[in-house]
Amino acid sequence: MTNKYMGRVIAAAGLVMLPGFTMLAQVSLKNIASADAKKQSENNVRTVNDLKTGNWQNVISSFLQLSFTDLAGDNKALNFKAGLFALKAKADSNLLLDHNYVRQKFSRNFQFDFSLKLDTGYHFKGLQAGFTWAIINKRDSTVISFANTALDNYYSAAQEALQIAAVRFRNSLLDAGGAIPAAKQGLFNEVKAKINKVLDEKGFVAKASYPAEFQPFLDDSFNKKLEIADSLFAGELAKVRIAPLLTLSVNSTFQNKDRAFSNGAARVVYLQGIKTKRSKTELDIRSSLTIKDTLVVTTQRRSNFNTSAGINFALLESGTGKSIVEFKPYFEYNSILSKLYSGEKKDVFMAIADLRIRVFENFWLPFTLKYDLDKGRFFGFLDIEFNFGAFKKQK
Amino acid sequence: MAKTVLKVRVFGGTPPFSLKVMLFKGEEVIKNLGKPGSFDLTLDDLSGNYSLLVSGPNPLSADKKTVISLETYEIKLSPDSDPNPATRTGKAYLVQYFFTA
Repeated sequence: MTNKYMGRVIAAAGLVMLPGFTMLAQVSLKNIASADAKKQSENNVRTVNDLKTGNWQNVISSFLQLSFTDLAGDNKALNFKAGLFALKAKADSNLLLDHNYVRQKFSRNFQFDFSLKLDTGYHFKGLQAGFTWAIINKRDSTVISFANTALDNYYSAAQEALQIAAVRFRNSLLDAGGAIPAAKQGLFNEVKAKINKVLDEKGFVAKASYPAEFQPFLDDSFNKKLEIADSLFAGELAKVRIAPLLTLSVNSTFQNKDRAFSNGAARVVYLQGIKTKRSKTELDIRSSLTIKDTLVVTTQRRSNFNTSAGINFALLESGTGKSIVEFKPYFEYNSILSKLYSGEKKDVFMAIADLRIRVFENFWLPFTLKYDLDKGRFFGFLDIEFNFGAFKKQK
Repeated sequence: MAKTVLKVRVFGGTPPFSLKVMLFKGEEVIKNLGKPGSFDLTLDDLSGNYSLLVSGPNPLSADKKTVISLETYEIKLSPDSDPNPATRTGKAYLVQYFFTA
């Protein structure tokens, strides 16, 4: 993502240095973790991924991503990104077992990427490789456990009521010999299948969601226990969602032409949710150091420092709590540390606003508007992001 | 007296809250346990008809899965039991085994 972003900035320098508003189209295809979109009332067991903002999704994801960028331009690229754990689990599925899974903290928070650069004739042009390490990741919902807490006690009581109801329902159908007569077997199978479907799709939910024949066997306090448990659970998930996330990304590029190092970059991203009434606001701080070979008369190695700070707002949300429209205003400072071009400014301050719109479940349309505070110029960008998760069978 | 072993394996992370295991004889609760994750449970001194139910949430991940199996060397499962082993990949589950020991 770092280089995609940098590529955009470089493209802007070459192509869009005109006052006013110009759009540059870029297509990127992404596979990012996602979960079902269900109505909140039907969906009490929700993942933090359900609540991820697009801003967060772009920082780190735990799944395989494949993307093609600049398909119509001179800098075509085939990008591959994979989590270390996802690859290790392919080789040894035992790592997915809960006891092993929790021990794989580093693997779960380390992803690497490479990008194959191609020219207009689809010939090999260069290779970019790098990694992203989530040094602090308090947002990993896959390892959260509230066992032996108050929340757990309420869910435990609800499960107990459900199991007692299931046994009582079956017992009500048994004949004197202790077996379900053939005439009632269909009813038992049908009710059991419906219960399984509800649990499978919605998790533990209120009495009204279960088959009518089964409801009378459920304890009257079942709903109350679930309500309290769900409320406590939602509160805990909200805390996880705004927990800090600190990532370090390093990557470098090698050009086929020179068969040598071309550029390298290190980037640090820090996200910290801000507790608000809606709790979908996030502090976003990013810094990067880039070293790049450039050819003017002789090859020179330029270094560039870039840092930005802003706040990402989820302006509009769906009924499921997923953000639909996000807005991120931020300031960016760019400094050329070495090998300044003639006439180039060493330090540039920009005021930037990203507007990101979720068109479909996994399809984002982000607009970026930049304003050069010194020159008084606007730059505009349009990206299209598609998430391959749309094709994944979801539960 | 017969015995059996219940095995529960959780994959793709940890369950956000405890799994529940209950063993019934008729409507009498013989065992009532909460477990935070994968476990083996030996049930011995069994004689008669039992209902063994396991419920819980799957981990909050895309790779979530729970596999529940029951040894049947010394017990006989009723045909209206869930498949053995039972694999559940949804948000939550309730697996029901009915057996005679």
